[in-house]
Amino acid sequence: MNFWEKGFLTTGIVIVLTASAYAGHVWLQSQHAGLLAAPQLGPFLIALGICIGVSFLALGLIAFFDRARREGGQRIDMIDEREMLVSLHAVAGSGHVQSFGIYVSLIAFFIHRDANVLFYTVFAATLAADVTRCALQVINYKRSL
Amino acid sequence: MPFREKTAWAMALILIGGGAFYLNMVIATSRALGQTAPPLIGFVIAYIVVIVIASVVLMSALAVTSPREAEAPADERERIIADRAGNWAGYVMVVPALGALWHFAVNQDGDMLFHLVFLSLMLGQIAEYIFQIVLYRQGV
Repeated sequence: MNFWEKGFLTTGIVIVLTASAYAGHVWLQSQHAGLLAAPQLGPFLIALGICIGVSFLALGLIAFFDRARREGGQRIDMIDEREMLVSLHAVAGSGHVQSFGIYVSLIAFFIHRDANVLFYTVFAATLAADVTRCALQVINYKRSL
Repeated sequence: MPFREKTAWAMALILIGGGAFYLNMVIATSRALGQTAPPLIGFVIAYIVVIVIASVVLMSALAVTSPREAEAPADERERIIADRAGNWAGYVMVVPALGALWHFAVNQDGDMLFHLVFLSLMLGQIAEYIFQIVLYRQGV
C-alpha cells in the first residue's frame, strides 16, 4: 500500500468517525428535545474542521513516518501522472454522489417541510461524497487505473 | 469544434438560461412578499421541465447535424477533460453548499437554505460545462 492509499484510507476512516460522532450528538440533542434538534454552528464547525484538518494532518503524518522509515528519506508524497488521473477520476465520481445527495435533500425538504432535515441531509451528502472520493481513490489504485 | 465541446456549449447555455429563469421567479416572489420566498415545488418543476425540454431539443439537433460523432464513445482526451472539469466543478458546488449550511446555522432561515443549496447545485452543473469548454479551448 503506497503513501496515497494509506492517506486516503485514513482520511475516509476519520470522516466516517467524525460523521458518526456528529450524528450521535444530534441524536442525543433530539432525544432531549423530543424532535429533530436545530443545527448549532459550534458542533457543525467542529465536525467540518475535524474532517478538513485531520485529513491534512493524517497525510502529513503518514508522509513523515514513511519518509523516516525509508533509506535516504526520499519524498514519497509527490504526485505523478497516474496519481493525478486517479485523483481526478475519484473527485469527479464523488461530485456525482454529492449532486445526487443534494437532489435527494431537496426532495426530502418538500416531503418533510423541515429545514433541519435539509441541513442534515446536505451535510451528510457532503461527507458521503468525501468518503466516496477516498474510497474511489483507494479502489482506483488497486485497479491500477 | 469537437462534438462534445458543442454539447458543453449547449448545456452551459441551457443551464444558465434555466437558472436565470428560476432565480428571476424567486426574486420577483420575494420582492412581492417582502421576505425570502418559500421554495415552491412549481418553480422547481418548471425549472426541470425547461431544462429537460431545451436539452432534448438541442441535443437532438446537434446529433442530427453530426450523427457519426454523436455515436462515437469518448476518447482518452475527452475522458480526461470530463474528469478534470468534474473535479473542479465539485469544488464550485461544495463551497457554496457549505456556505449555505453556515448561513442556516447562524440565521435559521430555512427558505434561504433551500435556495442557496439549489443555487450551489446549479453553479456546480454550469461550472462543469464551462470548465469543459475552457479545457477543449486550451487543447488539453
